[in-house]
Amino acid sequence: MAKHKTHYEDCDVLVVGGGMAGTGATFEARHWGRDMKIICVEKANIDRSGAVAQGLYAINCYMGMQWGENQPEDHVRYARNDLMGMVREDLGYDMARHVDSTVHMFDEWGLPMMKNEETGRYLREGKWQIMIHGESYKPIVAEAAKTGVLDRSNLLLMKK
Amino acid sequence: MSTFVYMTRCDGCGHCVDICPSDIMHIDENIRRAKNIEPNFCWECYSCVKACPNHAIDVRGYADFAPMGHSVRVRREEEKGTISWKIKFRNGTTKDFVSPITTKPWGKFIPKLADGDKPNQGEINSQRLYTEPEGLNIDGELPVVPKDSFKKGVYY
Repeated sequence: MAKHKTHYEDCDVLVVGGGMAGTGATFEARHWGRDMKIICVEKANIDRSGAVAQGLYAINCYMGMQWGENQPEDHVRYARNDLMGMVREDLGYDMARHVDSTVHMFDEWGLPMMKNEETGRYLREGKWQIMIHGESYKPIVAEAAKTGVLDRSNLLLMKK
Repeated sequence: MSTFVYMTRCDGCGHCVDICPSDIMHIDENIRRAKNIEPNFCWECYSCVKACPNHAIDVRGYADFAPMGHSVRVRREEEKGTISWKIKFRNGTTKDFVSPITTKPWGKFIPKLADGDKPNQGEINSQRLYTEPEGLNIDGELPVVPKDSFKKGVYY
């Protein structure tokens, strides 16, 4: 430990951890704060870090509002029932109403989604889950944090 | 399970050291080859196996419960756009899986945020996230409900 040097950096937004949430938040933060200095700190390589490091072959929450499959209210009702009322409904609603646009972004960026060839709908393996080929799930979102954002000199992705 | 390195294949390039989320793949200072310094802390995520250009890393079960010659091997081929798994069971049966790893050229369809229009103050103050509401693919706006319509506290 004696060999470790401490680096001091000032910033406007500090994202702690570069997993799925951290890299996504870094990308989103850059969209809203174009001139801000955003730092995402991560102990490992963001291409393979966090719980999705090894790939994940499902997206476990997708409303399908565009096809009328589920509405955010339905998800709040499901979560409330599943957790026997121990749930922040406002947070659940907020997550549910934003999840579709996020999934559509992954589709646009090149994440292989399994689709019904006739209807074009995402194939489901449950009421909320959709099926993907998720080997590159994390690298694709990490790429967004890097290419969408790193072209700005005022963003740092720190490693180890 | 944990990773181990075939010393005859490893050339000490360090890709596994770079990618390991647990920081346990290190280069041995004496023989200049990669090694797993702490097998108990291996996530079994296969990140190093996929990253190794020489296919020098393999994963094995602990000898007390997986002693019979099973194997789970993987090859991630970016140029082909596929990942292939070969699962060998201890009774000799094998299963092969091949899946795509991307549908588009790598990183080409991720927008360069710096080149786009800056969001105005009205958009910044709105409840929308990036690409919304168009990205939702629904007619109309982001769904909204009054905050006081949610229950307060917890049901018992």
